[in-house]
Amino acid sequence: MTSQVIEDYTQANLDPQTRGMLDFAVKLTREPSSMQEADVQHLRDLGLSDEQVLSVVLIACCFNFADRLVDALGLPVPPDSEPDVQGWLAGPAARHQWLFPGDRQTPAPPR
Amino acid sequence: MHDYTQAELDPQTRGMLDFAVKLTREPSSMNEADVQELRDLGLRDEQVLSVVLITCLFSFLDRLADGLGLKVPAAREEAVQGWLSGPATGLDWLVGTASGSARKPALRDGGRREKRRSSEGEGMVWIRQKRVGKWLALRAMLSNLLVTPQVVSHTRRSPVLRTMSINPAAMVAVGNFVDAVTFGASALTRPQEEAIAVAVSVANKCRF
Repeated sequence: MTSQVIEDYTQANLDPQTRGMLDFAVKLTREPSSMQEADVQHLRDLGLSDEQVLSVVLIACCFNFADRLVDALGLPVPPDSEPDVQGWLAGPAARHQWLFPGDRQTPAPPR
Repeated sequence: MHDYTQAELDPQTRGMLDFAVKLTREPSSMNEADVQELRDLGLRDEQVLSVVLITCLFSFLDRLADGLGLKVPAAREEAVQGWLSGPATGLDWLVGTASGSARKPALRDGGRREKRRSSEGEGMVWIRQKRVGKWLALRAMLSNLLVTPQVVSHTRRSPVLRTMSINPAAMVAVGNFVDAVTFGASALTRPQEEAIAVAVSVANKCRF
């Protein structure tokens, strides 16, 4: 599924809150042992409540679990999931402009 | 204790640990051959599933603890030291070859850390916590056992949950767990949840 969409959210035009949540989630995924209280405080400074911080952590943890489960057991993408994926890309995913590479992507402003 | 590859392990245990470490470090590198190797070492498919589930669960729990800054409670540290000097003495590789001398420094170190923690006060995690009373704990326990119609329909539809079908208890618990954690049940909006899920999955180079 992720192969059909942009793979690098750092190149996308995201609001600071979403960008902060994704940075936190990726750091927790790649280097869990490097997490600091400052990482949590940064999310709070971006306006997140503690309940929202917990949700960021839980969703990241949940996908660390599920991704390893499917990789270890060799689960193929079910052939009948294609309509679901296309439906998601055509509908709900429109809220994620940054997901789409090329012409559907709003160009990021020059830094 | 930190490097099991230096220890004298039976081939089956060694194979399971190699599998678990590979899955933790490079989940996208897993092949059917890795599962076959466990089978060749005499593991049944139920046991392979257990290796996978425990590894996955700790990928979850480790990050939960790291992400929220959970500290090891002093009582737990004592229990670990008790375990090291008791049941763990049978596991020579865990405590090193000179097991007697290796344990003493560990004990001293544990004592020092305990002192440092007590000066830090009650702050066990970086985010706010609620006091868990008896009633709340009981409800949390029960909700993990109850099979809701929603979970039944999830397990029918979701291939991820169905991979655990030979362990129905785990399947239901993870179904409950996923329900309680993601889509619709969190304090975030659905687009936020989806964005995090995609970012984490890409970071994991997950095939699915």
